[in-house]
Amino acid sequence: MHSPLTALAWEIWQRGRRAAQLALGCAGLCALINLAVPEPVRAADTAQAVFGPLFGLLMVLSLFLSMGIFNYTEYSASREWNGFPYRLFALPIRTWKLVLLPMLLGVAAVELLYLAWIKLVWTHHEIPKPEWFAVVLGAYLVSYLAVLWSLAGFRILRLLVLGLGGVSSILVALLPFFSGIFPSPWCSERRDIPLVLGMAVLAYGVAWGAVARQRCGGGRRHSRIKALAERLSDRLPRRTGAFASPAGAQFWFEWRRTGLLLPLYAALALAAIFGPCSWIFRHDPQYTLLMLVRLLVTPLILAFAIGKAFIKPELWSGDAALTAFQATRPLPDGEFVISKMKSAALSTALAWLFVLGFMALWLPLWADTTDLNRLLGGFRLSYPQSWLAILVLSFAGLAVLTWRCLVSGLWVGLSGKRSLMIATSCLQVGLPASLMLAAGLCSQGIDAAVREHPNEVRAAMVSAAGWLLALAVAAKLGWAVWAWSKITPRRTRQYLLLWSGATLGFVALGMLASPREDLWRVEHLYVLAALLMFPLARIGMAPRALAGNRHR
Amino acid sequence: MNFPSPSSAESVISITGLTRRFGPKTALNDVSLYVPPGGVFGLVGENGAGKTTLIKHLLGLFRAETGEVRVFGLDPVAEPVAVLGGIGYLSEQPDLPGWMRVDELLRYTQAFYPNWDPAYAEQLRVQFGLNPTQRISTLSKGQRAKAGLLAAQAHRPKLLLLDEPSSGLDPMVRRDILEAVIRTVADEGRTVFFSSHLLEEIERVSDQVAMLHQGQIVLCGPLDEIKARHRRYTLHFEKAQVKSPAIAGALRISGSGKEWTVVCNGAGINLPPLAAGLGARIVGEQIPSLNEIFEAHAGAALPGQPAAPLS
Repeated sequence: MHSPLTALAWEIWQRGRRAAQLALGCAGLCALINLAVPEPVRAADTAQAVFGPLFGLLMVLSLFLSMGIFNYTEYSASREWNGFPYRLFALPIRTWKLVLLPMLLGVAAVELLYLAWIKLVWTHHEIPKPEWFAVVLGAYLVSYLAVLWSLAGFRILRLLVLGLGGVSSILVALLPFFSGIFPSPWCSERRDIPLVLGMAVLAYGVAWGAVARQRCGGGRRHSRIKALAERLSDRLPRRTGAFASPAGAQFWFEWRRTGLLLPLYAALALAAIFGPCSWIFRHDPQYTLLMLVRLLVTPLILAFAIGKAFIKPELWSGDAALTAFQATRPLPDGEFVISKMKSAALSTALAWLFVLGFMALWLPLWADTTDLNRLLGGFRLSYPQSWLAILVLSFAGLAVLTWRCLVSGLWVGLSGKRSLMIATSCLQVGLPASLMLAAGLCSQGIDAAVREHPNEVRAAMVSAAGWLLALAVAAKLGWAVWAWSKITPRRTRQYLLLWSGATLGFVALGMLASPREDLWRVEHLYVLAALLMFPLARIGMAPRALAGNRHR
Repeated sequence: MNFPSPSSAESVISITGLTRRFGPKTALNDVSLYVPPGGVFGLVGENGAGKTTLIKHLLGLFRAETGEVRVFGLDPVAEPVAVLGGIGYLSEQPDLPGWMRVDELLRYTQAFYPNWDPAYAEQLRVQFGLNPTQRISTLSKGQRAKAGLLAAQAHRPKLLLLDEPSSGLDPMVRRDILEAVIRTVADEGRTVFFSSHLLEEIERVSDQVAMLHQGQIVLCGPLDEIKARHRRYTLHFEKAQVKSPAIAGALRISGSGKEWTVVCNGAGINLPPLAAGLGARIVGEQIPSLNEIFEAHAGAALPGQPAAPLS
């Protein structure tokens, strides 16, 4: 290495080279598709509807990956710290350089990747104002790193700020497009570009100041905000009694560590987004409907995102291995899993309690429910006997799905195998992407078939879906028999009871909510899908996965 | 290498033919070890010798690839609850959860051990000067080690496993840890398994010692017996020696010119006639320190690869 900065750049590359290859792979794949698919095929309606979202999805994925590469932080369990790598403070390099290097490399990498997308994939000017987006992207990366380093000791606040920052960046990115609607000087790129660049420079200054303070020992322990937060938490009621059992102690551990996150975020979303928006648009009946839908999916989206970390033994750590402290607790593997599942259940219940509480206040007190009432009236006419049961079961189903988002990946997260975690995440993205790609490539044929033989195509699709679902159910049950074979009969009976109850609920919902006039005979699809809703085999795998992590 | 040992049925710890590899590196190579109940068993070895790997096998954190590990006669991987319930464990860097407060750590740990003695825990807490409401993340390294020791000891474990517990700590904390070792042994029937590369510590408290060098046990037995068996001789040659004199059976030969020091296992070598044959006289005979014995054995086990110096 010729210089310390080269060494640091090499280190960043070594840490993130796989993610970089994947990000480049996404862009390369789309560029190849672009080259390989003939223009007439791409021009078809279905192809446009498929290729656009597919390319968009992979582009977003690749940009997220590149952001992840430059997530230049390190975790220390003992210090409860996830910030700028502490070890680098001993290097004979000035702080402004230490801070600037990852930022510059990050901006360069993201901009180059974006350029590749614009020049190789979005070749038909599908992205308007590409230069403007490039500026916003670079500025966001700088701000992202500034937040990561400045709020190193405040992990929940940091996640919130990053989330709000992301949403704000999207709004800022859309500003020039509002110039037609709101003729304001702030909706012009000419004015906004220097502003955004100025904010990036300011973010760099903030990051520099924060890291410099951390370097001389003043940034972490002596933070007044943190001291205040700790004083506040000292005032909160704390458990002072002994635990009744090891399982009780472990549940408390999990709840304190991971359980609070979902209800906290749900409450924050209600207070910061849904509350103000519902008040601002209180006279808009259409918005009430739209917001209700968003409100109901919010716990699911939050649980999906939080679930990615929840499934690991230590939520905040990048290392998926079980710590020696946890591994040496005299507790069976299954009890660790159960405490996580219980924590997830309490977490889900609290999050939904907040959502339902908000709905109970918002809908009768200040929402314009004209459209909602009309919709509900129509729904009651369609299902005169069962509308209430469907509503109750739907809410319960949403809560169960929220819980499922938190726990269904336990068998992956608890295994401690990063490769398995990456593979399953890739599968979650890759499978839909492949299906979309296949649909895009066959778009002309699909369009033509639907136009010429609509009934036959629909019947074939119903049949195929039936077979696929039946196969999935058979695979799930077979896998479950194997997965649960090593678990004690008592626990197996308990979980089977839970699974049967929840699955019966889903089946009942499927049957009640199936169309009154089942022209296409799809009721069996609802029932089959209902059998897949509640996790069974994967939960059975979790103790085994944890044992592999615990006894390496 | 075979060493005299109690039968596995009598042992608290019984390891037979344990081999563990991490990729191309063999961390433990055919290790057999039996630890009798009661007393302090010291495991010594340089950094990277395999001490922590061995202890992780005892805790069931590593699965035996080859060989067999038994603690209290049980397999720690197959029966972790029964084994871990009887063990108190403290590692070099106790990874206690930083978000917990000291009192929360104690209550949490207490739940797992039916034999937890609250009065004893409180006595230790006061003795260690730990503030119950203080967060673990704000404790110093020494205080964290004390908190870990408290949590490991307050349930009066049948086996106290200490993995280089005093490494990097100040003499006061090291003293507290050694006192804890002695106190545990004072409780009838309890066993301490203590790994360290600080040999003077091991020498102070251990009844039995095993020496691990590059994944192999090079020496094992009661400390007094080991020390009594070894001798360090100082030889004086009439003429200065250019190179090390060849003494068959010597574990380590060092020196220069006319003065040479030979460490040997007294049971295996009769040095005086050998020295006379080389034209040297024995001018001193001493019992070597554990450090010297270790270095001698480590060097003899793998010639050409001297053991890392021990403090």
